[in-house]
Amino acid sequence: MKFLPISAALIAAAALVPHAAQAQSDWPSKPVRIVVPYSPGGSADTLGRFIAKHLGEAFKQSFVVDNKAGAGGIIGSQLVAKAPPDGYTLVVSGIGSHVIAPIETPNSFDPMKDFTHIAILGGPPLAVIVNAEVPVKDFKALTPYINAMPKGLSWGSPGAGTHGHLTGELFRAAGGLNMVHINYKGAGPAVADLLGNQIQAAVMTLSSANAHVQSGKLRLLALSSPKRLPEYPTTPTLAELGYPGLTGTTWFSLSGPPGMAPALVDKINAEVRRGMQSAAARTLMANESMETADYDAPAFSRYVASEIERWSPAVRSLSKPAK
Amino acid sequence: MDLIANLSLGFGVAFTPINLMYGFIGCMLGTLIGVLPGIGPLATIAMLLPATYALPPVSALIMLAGIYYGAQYGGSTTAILVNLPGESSSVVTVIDGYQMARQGRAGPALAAAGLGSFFAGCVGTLVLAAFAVPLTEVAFKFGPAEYFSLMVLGLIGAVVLASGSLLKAVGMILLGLLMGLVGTDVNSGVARYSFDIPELTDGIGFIVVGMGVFGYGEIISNLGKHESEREVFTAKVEGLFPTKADFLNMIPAVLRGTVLGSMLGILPGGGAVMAAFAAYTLEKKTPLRPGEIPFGKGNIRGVAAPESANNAAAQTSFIPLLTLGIPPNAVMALMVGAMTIHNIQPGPQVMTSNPELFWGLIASMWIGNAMLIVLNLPLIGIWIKLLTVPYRWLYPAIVLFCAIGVYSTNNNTFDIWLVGLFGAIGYLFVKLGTEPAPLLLGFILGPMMEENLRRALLLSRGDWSVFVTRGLSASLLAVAVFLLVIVMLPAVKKSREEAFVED
Repeated sequence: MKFLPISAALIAAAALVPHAAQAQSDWPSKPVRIVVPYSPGGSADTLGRFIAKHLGEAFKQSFVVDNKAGAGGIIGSQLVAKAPPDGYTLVVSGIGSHVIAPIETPNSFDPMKDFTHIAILGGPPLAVIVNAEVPVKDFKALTPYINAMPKGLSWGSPGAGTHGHLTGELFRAAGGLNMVHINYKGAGPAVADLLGNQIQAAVMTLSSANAHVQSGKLRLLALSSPKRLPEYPTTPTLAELGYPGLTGTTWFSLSGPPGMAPALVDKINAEVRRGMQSAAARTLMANESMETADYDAPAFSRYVASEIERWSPAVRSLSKPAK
Repeated sequence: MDLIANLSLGFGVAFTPINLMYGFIGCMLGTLIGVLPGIGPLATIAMLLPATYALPPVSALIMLAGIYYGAQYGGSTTAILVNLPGESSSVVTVIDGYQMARQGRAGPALAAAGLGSFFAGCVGTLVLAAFAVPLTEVAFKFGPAEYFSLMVLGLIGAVVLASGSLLKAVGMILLGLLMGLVGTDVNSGVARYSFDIPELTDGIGFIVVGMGVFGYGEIISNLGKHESEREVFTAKVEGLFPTKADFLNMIPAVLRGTVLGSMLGILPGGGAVMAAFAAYTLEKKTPLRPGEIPFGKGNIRGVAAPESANNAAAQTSFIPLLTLGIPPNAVMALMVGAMTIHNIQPGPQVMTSNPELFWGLIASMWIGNAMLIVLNLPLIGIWIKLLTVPYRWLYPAIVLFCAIGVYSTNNNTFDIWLVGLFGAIGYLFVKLGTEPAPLLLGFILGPMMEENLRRALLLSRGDWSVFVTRGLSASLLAVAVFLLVIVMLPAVKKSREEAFVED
């Protein structure tokens, strides 16, 4: 009889021990929220919805996409940085929201310390496009064209803090060209104005422009991929044209709040990688002109750090104080 | 003819039992959420999108589209019955619709809204089918300068919206513009007027202002009256259907609203809202027939015209999406997402590479509009019964539904506090004799005007003359000036003040 309270206590203690591990192996036991810090319809949203669908089928739970656009992806990402690291709040991070925007918006967050980076999703290269009516037939003719314009060139991008904006600004700085950037909230309005010839050129993801390049309304001058793309064999890459520093992919990824358990991160990473290598993913990537990569969680985290290191000097060189 | 061949292909796709079923589900859901204050088509489509993954693409799009234009039907119901704009485009319907309900004419008002919406929906779909491609060319002529001028015209027209003092109307518009400034600046990312409250960095939501100022403000002011003065709608409920005289008045209004709505719906941005406001303004400028109730006091044209306009605009807003793959508003952007998930590339080639999708969707819109009118007309009788509920049950129910609706948009209790605050402000407006409709127009148009103004000036490198040197922009501004002159003419001003009667 004397042993009863002690044994009860021991049993209770024993029951508590695997609880922490239980939480990981139980995950997900309720719906998971994936924040997409951009408006619906764009590349981040497409990838977010695709991976939400795949993870939902794999884990037999509901993975809900929540669009929270604003400030180049900062607003939605900040929300997730403050969430508990239990794996029920994730964010579609990417080069825009986690490499470029945090430098341009100081006091927003630290992209490495304030997040756990889980897995890469993929993304498109950038496209330098002009309206088909513009008398520039290839990329080499662009610089003389801009220099001949008395008021400079009006060009657009999906907005401040995006990869397209950064690349365009770097091109401008390299040549000391007179180019005035017109701000848009996303690729859609930018494409609309480009088609209407309100702006003459734009730098944005190939996914956003592809349909119109195919239909002949826009002309593709260059791509930021490391090699030429099979569907555009005659379009040179920026590296070939003498701008190797502008080579890059507008990549998107899945991240979570800081301090997520490594076992949980690996679990999500493995499933995301399975999803992105699936046949459905290949179809999506082909349709959207995107590419994906295959990294485990620590390798991906290193990739993010390397991208931050690579682009930070460029962003800082262009950063002006907020007007 | 090509069009006939395409349409028969489309009807072949749309008339299958499964697509009819999904179309019906979409329309029904759309009507329901249009009626419920707060939650709107955007949130509903976002929630239902994952459920459509398993469906064939055409069925998914038919259902989602049904939710969108169905909501335009439902939004007018609460606007007319309880002074609550369920959708931003229903704000204008509130003005005359609620007055008609107060006079016991809720039935004709609802019928006018429904029938006008049906006609406009059908015409809008026809425009979409026949003129999609040429119309996108027209839309391209609209650059930032033209948008800005159009919105200036809209704002001047908003002055016309108010029946009362000119000064008060201008004041409300300016207040609305200021309120629209709260939030993050597009160009620089700086938070304005957010007082370090994170919920305000995104700006104040339209739902919050609409629910508060219209709904809660009206309830508070009604409660503030002595019991004998409170509205008793039921005593005067007359027929459920519009009279012959009503129909005669309505038909030209519906036609005008439809034309305006079809044109304005194509423009990205505030298509449906602008269409509703513009149609009302246009109606107000047409002379009154003898014996007609003045606008603002329950004129059926003031319900039929904006409702036709917003439904026509809802249909034609699919044009930029289907012909160019460019979504003109947030709901269409979700449709882009839906199409992409189903491996359809939204863009110019959708018409040619997926014709059964394009034409099937268009055909389903006609069927959907027919379903909606069949659904809505008999419901009018049920809605009327709702007004017989004693106000001591009705008002708390409205307050509750508004709070739930507002909470459902952002899952944020801060929004509910804001609605309460705007309710108090709305009550203040009633006491001061100012009207909230111009405030809401200023609130909606302000941010868009600012964005387009700055963009136009960036493109012109700071040259203000761009607004008058571009032909379309110049003509829009000229009409705005003309409208302003009409409004400010002393003779007109005097007759407006005479017409304004404290009720």
